[in-house]
Amino acid sequence: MSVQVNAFPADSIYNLDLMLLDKDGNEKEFNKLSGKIQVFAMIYTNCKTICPIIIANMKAIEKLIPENDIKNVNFSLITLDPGKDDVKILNKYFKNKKFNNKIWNLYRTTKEDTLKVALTLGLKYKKEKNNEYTHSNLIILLDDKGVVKIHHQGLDKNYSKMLKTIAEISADLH
Amino acid sequence: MKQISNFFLKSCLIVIFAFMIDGVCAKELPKVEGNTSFAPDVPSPITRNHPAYVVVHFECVELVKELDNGVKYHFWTFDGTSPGKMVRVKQGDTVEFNLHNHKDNKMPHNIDIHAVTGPGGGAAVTNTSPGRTSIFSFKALSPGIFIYHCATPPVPLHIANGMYGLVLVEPKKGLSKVDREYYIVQSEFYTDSTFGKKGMHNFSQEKALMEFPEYVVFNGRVGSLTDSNALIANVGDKVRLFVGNAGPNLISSFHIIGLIFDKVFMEGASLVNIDVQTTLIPAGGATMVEFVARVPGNFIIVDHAIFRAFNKGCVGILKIIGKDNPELFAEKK
Amino acid sequence: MFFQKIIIIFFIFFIVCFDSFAKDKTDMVLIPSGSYIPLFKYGDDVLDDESIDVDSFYIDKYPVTNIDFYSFVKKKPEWDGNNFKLIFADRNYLNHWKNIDSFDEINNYPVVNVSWFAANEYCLYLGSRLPTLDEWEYVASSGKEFRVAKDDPSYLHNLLDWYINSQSRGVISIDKMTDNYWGVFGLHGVVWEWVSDFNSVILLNTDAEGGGLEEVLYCGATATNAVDPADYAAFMRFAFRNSLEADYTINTLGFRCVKNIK
Repeated sequence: MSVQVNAFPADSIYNLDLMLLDKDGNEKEFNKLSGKIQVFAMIYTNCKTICPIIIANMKAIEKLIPENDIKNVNFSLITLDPGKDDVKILNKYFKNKKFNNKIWNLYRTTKEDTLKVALTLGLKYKKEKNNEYTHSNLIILLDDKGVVKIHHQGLDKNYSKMLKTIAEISADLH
Repeated sequence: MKQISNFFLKSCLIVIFAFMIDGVCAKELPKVEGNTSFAPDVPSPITRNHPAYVVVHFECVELVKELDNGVKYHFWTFDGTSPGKMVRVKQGDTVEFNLHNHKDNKMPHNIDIHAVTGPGGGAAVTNTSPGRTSIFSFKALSPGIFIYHCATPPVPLHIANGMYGLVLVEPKKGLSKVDREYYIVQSEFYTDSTFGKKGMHNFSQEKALMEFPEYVVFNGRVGSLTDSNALIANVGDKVRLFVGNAGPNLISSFHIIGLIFDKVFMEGASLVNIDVQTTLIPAGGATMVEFVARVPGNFIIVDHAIFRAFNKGCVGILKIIGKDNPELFAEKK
Repeated sequence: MFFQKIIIIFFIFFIVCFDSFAKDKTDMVLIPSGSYIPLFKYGDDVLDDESIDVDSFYIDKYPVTNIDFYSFVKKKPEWDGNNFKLIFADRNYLNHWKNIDSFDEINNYPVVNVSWFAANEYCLYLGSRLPTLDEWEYVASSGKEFRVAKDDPSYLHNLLDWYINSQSRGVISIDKMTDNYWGVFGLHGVVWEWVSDFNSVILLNTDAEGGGLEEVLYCGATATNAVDPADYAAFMRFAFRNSLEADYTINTLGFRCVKNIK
């Protein structure tokens, strides 16, 4: 890896050295998500209960970000179920959800690295006997350097703190 | 006529203005430190007449303490005492609750405050590892005297080991003025040894499941309210007792031998019963009783399930000092 | 001929030195595959099978000690008390190594004040890994005499005493630890131990022994109920895991490693 060890703050999640695969099958180093403000969630495509609401809330946040700032923001989803959510399924899910290709991406990684990402973000999850997952509802806001700024409850429709923080970080990026 | 209507108009404007100001001020609550005390003392009455943002700090401490003379037990506590601190807030307050878990503790802890309307009474969001702090806030919606306790699994063990206390939410208009207020919590201890046997006592799960305590005590130990620790009042004092029952299992039949409660705020809530000899305190509940100290003497505080008082330690003393009142009570020789 | 012997000796010496830092199987115990009954049963159906199957694996006889971890830190200085990154461990990391007169005093005590990331990295470095929650609970479900400890009526009682008394006793060195049926030492009443999937413990509404999930906080599939509400020691372990985050370092939390059967 060519990334310098000291490139990120000590509490940045991009200190994790791992490789992602996106919905188009492109490989991407995890730390290449830096440089943009990330609105982040970990879900899985087969989640029928609360995940659709989490995504709806993320889309609502996307709509509320001013045009001036949205170019600094990405929405990233990493699957909790890399065993089942292969690139083909991620691609299909992406199309079904009609995400904006310029702003959203879906990723998968190894089982071990999925756990590491969840752990740095403070997310809990458990695979149940019926192959569904019980998992934290959280939407995480990361700054451009990968430092966690906000843990937002996924069902909470009060986005004011999230939007305010995005605006503040974005102002520094202009 | 013109003067009257002028005056009336001005008064209306002032009233409207006052309401507007109140509306503006309510959005920014003044921040105050929590009003707390250690048993048997009660925090002083709240003097402000508006809600506030109240900041409270508790620290979980695991330590060995005496349950009885020469009898030691592994206590789990809030702030080193069992019961923990009493907190006094006002209906309408927003309370910011900071729960610290001392880094030398072995167990995670949390808190369920019965005055809270919200998941777990706060327990769902205060799971705290040793060395960490959890913070949550709640609005005190209802007045009353409420139990708080740790609710980390196994919950009965956390309660059985001493993690409980009382939160008082004063009604909006406050409580009537009294001369003495005291804080008492009744609870049981289940140990693998026998009552009074000196040495280390360990928690007995078998006895706890059978609801067969070795100790039933006030304020966490035998003797907490007797001898030099007896509660004091003067003849003529209006006395108010906040009495909780942490359980974990038993219901209390709270009685003070030799006096009648003028008022009992049943179950620690707003409905008042009068002239009550013995009142029930559910496990995980509380009561508030008021009476005037009319006759001097030693008045024994008991759980009237009387073997508990006599053989398990559930006894305290209220010492009323002052002039005899032979009209009320006199020995005839 | 002599020269060839020297080369062979050097070669053997080199292999021994290189391999001596790999996890030595003599420090580990083979746990055969089997099943155990976990504390929480996941499933609404009364007929759902409670037991969980576990494949065979090797497990460390003892928790990782201070001297073990010291050797690792010397080889991987990015994990020492000065260079570590805050995303991987909090400021209390290896705090107990500071201000001690002699490291020798704590050599054989379980290393504590290590985060999940540090523990995980240690195991990976040795070609092993952290145990899963099921693996750890499976091994720990055996007492001394009984393969299934709960078959021994006094087991739960002794276990609870052990857990509670360990608070005043403090952490003990590996020579004072006792073993269980498998010859694994110090599983109970010494230090809590990291497992790889500690973040799979999601406990709420615990005033009773089970309860539903909070939809506000978790997206979930099933309710959880405790199989044996009298197993207070297990509750304590689960409650502890439930309170953790991966960067936490706690002075009663250590770990041990496991290794797959090749």
